Order: sequence, then C-alpha cells, then structure tokens
Amino acid sequence: MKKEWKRVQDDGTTIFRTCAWSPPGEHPVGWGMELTVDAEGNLIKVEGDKEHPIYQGRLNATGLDLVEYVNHPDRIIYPMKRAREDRGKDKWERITWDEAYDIIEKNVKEIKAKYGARSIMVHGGTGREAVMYSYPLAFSVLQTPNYCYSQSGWSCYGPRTTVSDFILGAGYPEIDYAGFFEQRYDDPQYVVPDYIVCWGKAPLASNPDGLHGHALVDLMKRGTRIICIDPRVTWLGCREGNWTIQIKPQTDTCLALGLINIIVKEDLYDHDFVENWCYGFDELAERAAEFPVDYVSEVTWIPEDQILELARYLGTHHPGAMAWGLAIDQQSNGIQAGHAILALAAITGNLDVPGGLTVGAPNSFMGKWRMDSRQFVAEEDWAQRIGAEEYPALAYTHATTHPDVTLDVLETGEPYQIHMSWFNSTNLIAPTNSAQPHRWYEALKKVDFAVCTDLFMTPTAMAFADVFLPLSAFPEHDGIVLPHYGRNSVFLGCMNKASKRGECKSDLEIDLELGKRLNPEGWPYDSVEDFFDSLLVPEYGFTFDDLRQIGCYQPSYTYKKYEKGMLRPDGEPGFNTVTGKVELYSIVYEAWGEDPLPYFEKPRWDETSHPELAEEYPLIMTTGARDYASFHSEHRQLAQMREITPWPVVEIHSETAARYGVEEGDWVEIESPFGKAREKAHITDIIDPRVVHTRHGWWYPEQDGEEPNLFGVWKSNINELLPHKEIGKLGFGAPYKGVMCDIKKVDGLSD
Amino acid sequence: MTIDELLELDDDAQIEYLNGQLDEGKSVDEICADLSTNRMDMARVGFFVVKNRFMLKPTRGYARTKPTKLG
Repeated sequence: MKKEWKRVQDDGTTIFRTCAWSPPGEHPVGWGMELTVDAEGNLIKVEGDKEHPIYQGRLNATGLDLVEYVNHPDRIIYPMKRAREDRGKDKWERITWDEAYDIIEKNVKEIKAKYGARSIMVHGGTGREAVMYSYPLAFSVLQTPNYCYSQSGWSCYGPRTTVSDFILGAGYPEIDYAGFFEQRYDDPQYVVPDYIVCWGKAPLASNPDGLHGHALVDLMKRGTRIICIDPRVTWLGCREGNWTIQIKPQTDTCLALGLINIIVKEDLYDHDFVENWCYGFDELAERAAEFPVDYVSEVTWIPEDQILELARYLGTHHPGAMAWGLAIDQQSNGIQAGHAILALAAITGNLDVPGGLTVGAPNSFMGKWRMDSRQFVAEEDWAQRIGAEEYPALAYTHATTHPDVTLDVLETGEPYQIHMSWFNSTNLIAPTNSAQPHRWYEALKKVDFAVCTDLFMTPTAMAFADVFLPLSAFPEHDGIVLPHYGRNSVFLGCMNKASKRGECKSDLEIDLELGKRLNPEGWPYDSVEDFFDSLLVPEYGFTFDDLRQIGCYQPSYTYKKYEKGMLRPDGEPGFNTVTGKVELYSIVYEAWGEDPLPYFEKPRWDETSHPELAEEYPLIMTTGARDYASFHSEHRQLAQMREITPWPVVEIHSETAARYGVEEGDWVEIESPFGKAREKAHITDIIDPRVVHTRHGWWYPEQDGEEPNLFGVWKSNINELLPHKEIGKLGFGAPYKGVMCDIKKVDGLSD
Repeated sequence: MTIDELLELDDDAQIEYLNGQLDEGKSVDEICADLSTNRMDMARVGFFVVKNRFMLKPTRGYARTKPTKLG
C-alpha cells in the first residue's frame, strides 16, 4: 500500500490507515479504512481505503456508522464497580483501573485458594477480536481450564472447523477468491471458478469469518455462477444466471449424500483425485447409494429434476467451490452435513486447486499462540475441563468447555461449582449464543464474583457484573486482523490506534496488565508492540512496525500442496490426517465411537420426528441469519442502524400470513415447544409457506435496564425457542435453524 | 513404559514403539494396558489404529496442556 499509515493534514486533522476488526462486533474481515481524527483525538470521519487489495474502498453498513458507534453517549469509558447485592440495579460507581485490578486480583486469589482455579469460568462471545485474547485470559491470566463459548453444540464454526481438521487435517477451507495474491483475480495462477455453492450462507450480509462477501459479486461479473442452497430465496440466488435451490431446514446432509450418489453413479467424479488422495471412497459410495433421488426429494422438499440437474452440473463443471455456512453447524446432524459437503468437494476435485477451496493450516500464527497459552493451566486442572470426558472429540479440537455440559454444571454444581464468571465481550443472555438463555441467567446469578468487559451496558453486564471494564473500539488500539483467526489467513492486516475515548483499553492490554499481576511468567512482554513482534518475527521475519508500513500483507498461496509435501509436518505428500488422505471414511470418528461415514439424521424437532406435535406446531422456525445493520446483539443503540432495521422481523409467506390473519408490520408471537418470543411480521414469498424466518440478537437499549426488564431482553428472545443439549453424538451441532413452531398475531411487543 | 513416558519421545519414535509392540505379537488392547491407558485415551492424544497398525494424527489436539506441535 503506497500511502503513509499516518498522515497529518493542513487543517490539523490526521488520517490513519487501518484494517478493521472489532469492537464494534465483526468477524476478522479486515476492512481497509481511512480514519480521520481531529486535533483532540476524536474520530470524525470514516472512509473506505481504495488501496486495500481486498476491499478496494468498499465498506459495510456498520463500518460506515463507525463514528456514531465510537462517539455514542451511552458508551462506558471508565471502569466501574457495584456491590454484589446491587446486581441487576443501575448502581454503578466509577473507579480507577488500579482499583478494578486490585478487586479482581483479590477475588481471583481468594477463589483459587478456596475452590481451585477450575472454579473460574471465562465466557467468550463470537467473532470479535476478543476471540483471540479471551482464551489466554482464561489460560494464562486466570489459569483456569474453563473457557466457555456458550452456544449449544458449539454450533457456530465449531462443527465446520472440526470436520476440516478430522477429514482434511486442515483449517477452514475457504472459497478461493484470489485474496492471497497482490494481483487478485488477474494473478496468472488463479482460475475464476465456474461456480460457487452458497450452502446455508449469506455472505453479503455477514462477511463470515473473514470472507469478503462482495467477492462473490466480483466473481459473478467474471462469469462465476452462484448456486444458493437455502430455505429462502436470496438476492444472490435470484440474479440472472444464478440458481436457487430452496431446501427444507436441517436436511442438508440428505441432499449432499443424494448429490454424491448421482455423481458416483453417473461416473462424474474426479478419478485421479479419488484414487490417489481419498480414503474410503467405496464405503462412501455405498452409503450414498442409500439416498436415491426420490427419497432425497421427499426429505428436502427439492424437486427431483433440480437435484439431478445440480448433481450433473457439479460433476461436469470445474473448478468450483463450496461456501458452506452457519446452517451446516446449526443442526444436530451438522458434523455429518459438513463431512458430506467436504466429500462432495473432494470427489469433484476441488480441494486446493485454483478457483476451488483453499486449504489452510489447522491452526497457525496467533491462532496457535492463543491455544498454546493453555500450558499455564495445571495438568490436573486441564483434565477436569468441563465436558472433556463426555465429549472427547470436541475437547480434541476445541480448547474450551462443552457448552451444554457447562450449563448442566452451572445448574447442578456437579462435579464442581463455578464461583467466578468473566464475561469477555459476550452478551450471552441476549438471543445470539446460548439456547435457553433464561436457564443460563438463573444459573449464572449464583456465582460469587463476576467481571464484564464491553463497550456498552448490556443485559448480561447489568444482570451479573460486579466490575465492568470498558473496552476500546478498534480505532482506539493497535492490533492485527487475520481472517479465520489464523485457520486460513488470506492476509494479515495492521490495525492502527488512531483515536481515544476515556480510559478504555483493548482486550490485549487488559490481558497484559492483569497477566503481569497474576501470572507474570506468561506475560513477559513490555508492550502490545513487543507482544506482536514476538509472534511476527519468528513466523514472517518482520515486526509490527514493519506491518504498519506494509498495511496489508498477503502471503501468496501454493496450490496442490498435498502433492508437494506442504501440508504435513513430516514433509510427506498427502493431507494432514491419520491416513494422509482426505478421509471420506473417518478414522477419527470411528475412534470416538461415531459412524465413520456421513449419515442423515432427520431433524430432531419437526413434523417427521414429532408427528404428535405437528398440529400444535405446524411451522418450522429458522433463525440466526445476519442482517446488514447489526452484528448479532450489537449495534442496537445506533440510530442509523435502527433506521435500517428498527425491529426484529419474522419473515412469513403470504399464504401462511393470510391463514393466520397476520398483516405486514403486525406483532407476532412465535412459540415452540420450548419457549416464545415476539417479532414484527414481514410478509414475503422468499420463504417457503411451511417455514418462518426469525431474527436473533434483539434487546432494547432504549428500555429500562434494571431487573426484571433488563433492557427488554426476554421480549424478543428467540433463543428461548431452542432446546438445550439436542446435539450430535460428538457433542457438536444444535437445531438453531430448524425447530417446529406456531405463530399468532398479538397487540404489541409486550402485553 | 507409561503413556506419559511414550509422549516424551518424538513422533516417529512413538509410532515405532507402538508398531514394534504389535510386531512382537501383542494386541492393541494389550499394548494400551501396558501403557496404563485405553484406546479412547490413546485417541485423545492422537493415536489411531488403522488395519491393525498404529497411526498418528499429525496435529495432536488439546487433550493435554503441552503446546501443539505443528511442524
């Protein structure tokens, strides 16, 4: 990038180049931005950086609203404390950082001495930069084995990364959008894909895990056909030349196996790749044969001719890529769905080839560091990590607790009690993450001491925290952004500190400062820059200051690494798996007692599994899709974002709405066998008449924050409709995107 | 040898030892018992049995606190 990273202007302002991460909430997308700061250090303007090789000046809606977010009057910009008996009340008192650290240090030491380090739990949220620093907060600051991501079945990213590790020995396989190359799509090594399958994914709104969603539009302009497999008709799916396959929620595995069956039977697979680099093809073919097209059509609601046409298209066009989305994770059958989809990509010869799926390291750079910080946990404590015994496959690939078992432990106190909670950038009683949030709420009230780090007062902080630590937004701190958290880093972007508000600190600064008090051996770094240097220099040979000058570092990419001995630590050709091949038949699943082949399990909560409830709950609710004006439960305070999306919306087909007497804009109560919530109706025929699509992450910052209202967090709490522990055998996947429900028109948000 | 002692060896030596035991006629379960462990716990630290040979998953996972070896 040619421009200087910091440019002082004649009018006294300064323009800083940066690659964005968070807060505000965002995945590691690394938007290229130019931030204008006035002479007092206030952020006054945001523009896209046209020099950024990936984004080329483009920004998303929440990025464009950054000035409002950063300067919002409701931001908390000083540390605060509150008496334990005042939890749920707005009785906060401003304190200094030293006082906050003193309180935390005293409580941590007392709790550890009385109950052991395992009695401390760190709760982390999704996507934010905190994802990098909350693991080490747990492991090498507090030295507890218990870091919890509270989503039932770890069903965001967890199943997909686990499948990738077990089947490919790889990090997250991402579609090849030429991000690794300076010349992007014009790089001579690159081939524009014939097709990209958006399977349960809406990348334009979500830019998930670092994939620039708009890259799909770039590729459409170069001739790529986008095939959307989704219960809804999406903008991408209905562009000219693209394709919409409207599927019944939770039946993706059935479709994938049906497609494999056709491709095998009609001899459309890549013989060379299968024979040389796949393990268990014959067994997979035999399993797929159990999925004839008529059966697949009946289960998935997709017409037979569409299934046949899609299979033949995938088998006769090359290269192509599978953009597999959150919907794969959010079903009890998610591991098998991911396995079948990767198998489909493998047998069609689309792994690690130009225009196919890129294959990253299982865990690298900062991703490796954050997990390796567990060396500061005592081995005997690590062995008691919650859920590790019951779900060894999850414990193998995730240095976390098992989320559903964590709730059980919090509720019962067995096998041991949790006495301290640290809510690190997570608003877990808002309906984003945990299933049955009210159960989490009741269970978490019992802890002796709680800390919350965030930027705004949230329902979670109001309900539980004794100490509130104010986080800086990304324009207010130095950092590094890396797509896929290191599991497939298309680039490294430098985040430059530009502005300042109050006394806010970054997650890393808090780790460093508290780490020096509680475990100095784990935190030998003199500064944030020193910390980054210690990671960058051995891996890349340049310092953090060098990265500031570079702006965005693209490491390039070598295709067909499996032929060149570049995927395995022993340098042998092949994949980084037990057999050295893509395991269509999984040795690892077999060892954990799971079926080594993908299989279809019918949805846990629909009319086929619970016919006795079909009359009472005749619809299927799907939820969890992102929109343009928020990041899960964030951005609800922002006037500009609320202008775009003022209320949570339930999308209902016109025929269904007519049957229920619901009109556009009516408040509707959605009820499942597990709970209910209210959202506003949007009547649209993009959704199947048998399905309703609901929004997640809603609470109302404009309402009373004190208990029992807690900013209205229970009113549109769509996760109350989801079951606890309806997970797959390996512990992954939960039915966030498919639970039977009913709807009725109501008078308003509240009675 | 215990499983902890086995894990102190480098990767090649671990596999060589285990398959050497198979070559001597011991069964997988007998080898696990000799190491004071079982098949499931062997899998937790990255050892898997394929066609009666021990094989190693190169990325060993998070069963222990020892840093991950990535090559």
